Amino acid sequence: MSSRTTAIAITVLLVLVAALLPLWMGPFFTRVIQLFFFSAALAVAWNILGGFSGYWSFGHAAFIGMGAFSAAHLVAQLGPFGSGPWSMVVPVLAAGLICGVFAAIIAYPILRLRGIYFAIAMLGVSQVVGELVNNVRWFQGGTGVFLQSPVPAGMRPEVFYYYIFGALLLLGFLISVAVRNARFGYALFAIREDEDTAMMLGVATERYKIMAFVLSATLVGMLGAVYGYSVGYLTTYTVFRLDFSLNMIVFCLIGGIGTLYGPIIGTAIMLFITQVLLSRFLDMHLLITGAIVVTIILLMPGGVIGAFNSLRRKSSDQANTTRAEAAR
Amino acid sequence: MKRRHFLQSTAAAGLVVAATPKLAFAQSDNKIVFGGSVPMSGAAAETGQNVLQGYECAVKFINEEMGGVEIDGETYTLELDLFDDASDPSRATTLIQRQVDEGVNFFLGSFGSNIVLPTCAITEAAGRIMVQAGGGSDQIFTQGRRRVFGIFPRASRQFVSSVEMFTSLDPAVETASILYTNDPFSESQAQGAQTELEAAGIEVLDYIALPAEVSDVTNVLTGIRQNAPDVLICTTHDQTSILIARQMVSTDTNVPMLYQTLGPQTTAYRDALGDYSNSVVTQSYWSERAPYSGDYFGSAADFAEYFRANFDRDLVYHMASGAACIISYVEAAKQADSLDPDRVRDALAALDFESYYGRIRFTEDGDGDPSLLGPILIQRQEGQLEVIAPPEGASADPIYPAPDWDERD
Repeated sequence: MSSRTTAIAITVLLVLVAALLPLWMGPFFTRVIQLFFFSAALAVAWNILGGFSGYWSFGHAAFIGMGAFSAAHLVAQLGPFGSGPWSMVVPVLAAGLICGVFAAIIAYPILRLRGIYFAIAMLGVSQVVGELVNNVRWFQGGTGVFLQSPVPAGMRPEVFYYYIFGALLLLGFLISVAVRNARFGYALFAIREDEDTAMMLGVATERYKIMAFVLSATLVGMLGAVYGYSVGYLTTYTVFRLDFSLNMIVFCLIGGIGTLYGPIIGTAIMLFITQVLLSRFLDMHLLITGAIVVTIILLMPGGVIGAFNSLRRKSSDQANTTRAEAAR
Repeated sequence: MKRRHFLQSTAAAGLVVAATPKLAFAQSDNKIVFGGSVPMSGAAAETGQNVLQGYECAVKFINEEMGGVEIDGETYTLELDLFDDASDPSRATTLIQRQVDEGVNFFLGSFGSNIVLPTCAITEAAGRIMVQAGGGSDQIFTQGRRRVFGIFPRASRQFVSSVEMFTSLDPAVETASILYTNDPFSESQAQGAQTELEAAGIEVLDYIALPAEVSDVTNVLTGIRQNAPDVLICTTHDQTSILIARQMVSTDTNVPMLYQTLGPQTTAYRDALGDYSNSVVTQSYWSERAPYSGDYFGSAADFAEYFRANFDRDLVYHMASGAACIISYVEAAKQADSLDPDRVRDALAALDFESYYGRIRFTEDGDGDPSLLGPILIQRQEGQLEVIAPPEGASADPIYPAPDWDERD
């Protein structure tokens, strides 16, 4: 069986298991996995830009906030789009579209910056958008906005959002796979390795960077809108949060930045540590979490995937050496 | 077993034990366990620490000074099982769910409506109770929940006692201007003030938002001088309140009453303004000078003394409000003579008792009765913070109209 077939088989199996889990899992672990799906989907979306092209954004929380507030204002201005789960389809898609358009507008000037300059510029964008939503009265970021619950009667909210966030993670992951295996993905990797050389060799770097940025922002905007529905009431401080932006980066770093499974693995590790293992530490959990992150990054600079690949290489080299010695 | 295998197995076992929820620990071993979250980090950390020390103060007092609480012939001690929600609604909801699953019946609230609202939705759906002093949004109390109680009145009712004071002054207040910091708390307060003022027939001349970081308000004060309101209400934070007062002095902007919701209570305000701080009115949900007393702690002054003897943070009303959540639970359980959540809930709904915090009673919707638990009004008079309203709790008469800045000493 080829490694590709194995990967597909594992993914399908995981999806099936995930679909059945809420049937026997308690509400707490359903919520933990729901949060995992949401956070992993954010990390996967961030990875399309930051991991594949090397453009690390420190301000992706801007799209979470824009997505959530766009959905809330669409419903407030135009009325509910039906009832039950279907009522969130239009606001969520529109939120993604708005974030995508916004990203397309700022892409040209902001993607001319590279490295730390781009990171800081995105941080600035996030701060500015957050301040605007907070200070411009129409947005109601200060007082907060509401989103009517779309959860069907008789269904537990955590189970409902488990499936919704799970579906969005799957969507993000499939898009990520498609990007990685397409010309688009190769172009992004070329940009990451050496943008000037890629441009010199005829790669349309500008176009591919903008495409990655818009795609990433659209996915994050949709996730932000669903997150808005899941909390029901949101103010600026609920969504325009620096820790959202930083978590996306940390999760990718821990798992393996620029890889397909890395963001998901990193999210799983960090959420297990912070939400399950350290949940009872009232005032020490952040210190311990920080220490764990630093340790993991020092021990595994390429993340879990990087460490795994390195181990596999080592054992393969060892086997080759043993075979060579035996042949002698 | 090889050493490496032993270490691996031990580590794995440790992880499993740590990850396994502690089942059915609530109300066991004659302990009443209070679950919930507090923001120990993130945007609301400072207030979160204050509320936490209020909870701890009440638990310490009841366990150590009162020997616990007797319910249905059994003596129970109190225990807190709180976690840091990091001012993050996602983390708060996940971990509140864990405590719900583990069987915790009694919850304390976090700080901020954006966290209290999603968490109380979980406790309500699970038939558990939450008594909180951190969420004032109207939506917490107007969506039909029966098991969520707030020590404070809902946001739209928090200016009721202030407007009652304005209308009782002689000469009565006829006009007011409002300045507010553009953040959720200050803006909600300002909206509530505007609604209450207009309902009382007081004309609102100005309604002006200030940025969170402001360094000059002289332009705004020019407008205030032109409109000459009877009361200038500032729902602003400490530093902005000091800035406004300083620039009012320097531009000789006099109003019969300067009312600032945050700032004048602090020593920093007094130090910055000296005698100019006299006659400025502020609000507090509790004051150690208020003449309230009850079975727990004794008087307001006794609470302050006990707190200062055992804790090191500067005493502000959040501590008293946090402790009031615990004593409300305990009083309700005593009156129900049961720890059954339904009976405790009914007792909380019917609660009406005197305490160091004032008379504690909830409305039918669960928020604090605005006539009893609304903010008390304080005025600095000759350097001392005196309670000027409500009249039954007043330690001095209000000075109104206030003397001009150059006449204050």
